[in-house]
Amino acid sequence: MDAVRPIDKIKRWWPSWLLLGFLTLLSLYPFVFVTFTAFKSKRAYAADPVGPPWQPTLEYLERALTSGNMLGYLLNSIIVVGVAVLLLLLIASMAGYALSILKFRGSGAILLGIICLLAVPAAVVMIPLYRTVSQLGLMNSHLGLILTYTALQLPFSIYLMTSFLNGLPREIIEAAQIDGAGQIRVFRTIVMPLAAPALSTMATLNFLWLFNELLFGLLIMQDDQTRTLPVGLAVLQGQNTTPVPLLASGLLISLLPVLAVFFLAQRSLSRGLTAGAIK
Amino acid sequence: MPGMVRKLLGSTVAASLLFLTPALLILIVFRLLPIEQAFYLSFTRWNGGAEPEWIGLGNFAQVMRDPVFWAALRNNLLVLCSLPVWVLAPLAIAAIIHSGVPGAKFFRLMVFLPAVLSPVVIGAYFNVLLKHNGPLNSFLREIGLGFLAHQWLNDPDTVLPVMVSILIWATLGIGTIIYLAALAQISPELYDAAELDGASWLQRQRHITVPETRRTIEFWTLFVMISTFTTVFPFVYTLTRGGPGYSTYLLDYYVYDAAFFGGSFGYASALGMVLLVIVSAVCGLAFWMLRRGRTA
Repeated sequence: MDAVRPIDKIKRWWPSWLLLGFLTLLSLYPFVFVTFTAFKSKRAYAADPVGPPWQPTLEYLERALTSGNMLGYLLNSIIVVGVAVLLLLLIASMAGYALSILKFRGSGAILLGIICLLAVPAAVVMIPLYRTVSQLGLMNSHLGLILTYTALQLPFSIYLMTSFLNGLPREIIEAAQIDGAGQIRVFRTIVMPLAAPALSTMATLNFLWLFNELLFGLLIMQDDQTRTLPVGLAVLQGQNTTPVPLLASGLLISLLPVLAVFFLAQRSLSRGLTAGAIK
Repeated sequence: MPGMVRKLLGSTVAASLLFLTPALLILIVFRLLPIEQAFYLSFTRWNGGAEPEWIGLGNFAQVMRDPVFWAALRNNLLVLCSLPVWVLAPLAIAAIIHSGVPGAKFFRLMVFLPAVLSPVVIGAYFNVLLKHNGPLNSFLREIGLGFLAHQWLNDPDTVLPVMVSILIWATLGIGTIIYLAALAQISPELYDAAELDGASWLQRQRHITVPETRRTIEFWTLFVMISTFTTVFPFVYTLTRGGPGYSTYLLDYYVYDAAFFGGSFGYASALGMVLLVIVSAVCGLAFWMLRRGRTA
């Protein structure tokens, strides 16, 4: 087996390579296209929408960042998503601790109820949620979207946390409890460090989902000053007069943070996506 | 005071409540009460501003007569017809990557990549790419395949399949990763033994991969089914806004459209309720069929 001739290797694998190579192209082309186009002038794009920018210009990237307000959108996204991700880490791990380690009569029912919320379509709750947020006076505020996002991802986060904690050896926790450590101390000094992998998975997935979320951002952030990146992009894209290079510049800016997370958090990402799916 | 806190924490139920309170509070205010509110609003006429006005079953009667609702429902069901591709394409890709193809790690990464793109980015990208004088058509013309150039997003006859292809592509990465995790649990000896017995690649997939990953296939099927009813909004919004005409109106987009473009919040709530019933019915049916298939 160890002396496979290259020609045999090619003979055996070329159909797979062809298919996977095609998929790779499809995956990479958005990045190539967006990068190429962001550096083109409007005229260069109209003349040749496919090729590389032969005379690269920073005009549209600059416009996207300044008058296009992409920098402001990015900042709003980072504030809203950052705070929501941190809140989710804290609140979901506390709830997971209660539902998985403390356990009490009815905790199973509460968990089931929380999981059921996962199946309720966003379209069902969007109108009342819009009403709730505006009644609380939180329209166009970071806090309004932070709370909405936290609520949106809480069922999934609690589910993830609970199933992770259920898999922990109970002896460690019981030993600490017998030693007389209070619940808060057990939670902070024993359970949280053990749960680090689950926490990183939760943070990564929540970041990606919320950073990419459009619907609730669109509902709550109607003021240009507080818009998040997807909302700003969708509005920019909806205007027929938007030059393609300007839109591409906006897309490029929004791709960079997500791409960074993709490469930094590869492992926790696929771990999280596959949790619960197999078995 | 500290003594009391300690005593309270001593009892498991009290401690649990303490740990659960923040989560429950947020879930009740932002997830549970809205469902109850949606139910109430669906019986009202409401323009989003003044107080909602009770009109009984009026909205639901209107839904039944609404041609746009039926068009959207029809489109949703047509999207559902693509389910086999949606379920099997990522399985096939995962099986190929899993079969030891050189460069598997790289391909796995590349196939997964689109999964992190936001629907807005995907929608905006394809909207530009597929424009009449956009890159795809001009590329086709350049390489002499100009006859294939097409009004991809403006032809009512083909726009839905085009959109479904984009949706399938957008979820391919997640599906593949999930299937790969399931494949990793299958003992390689099964494949070796089958290969020794002379089973072809396709036979091995049919008799080993499919039965061994059955639970995952079921999970992914349900996930995709629910998604087609509940998470396509951002794609529709950026790709077509439901057009041309109503040819890409899907139910969850129509709820948004009726409320925030049409200004009929009560009617939109009723549409949302109908959507909830449809999703529950489809899921229930799928569950029932899966269970029957398992016992048979």
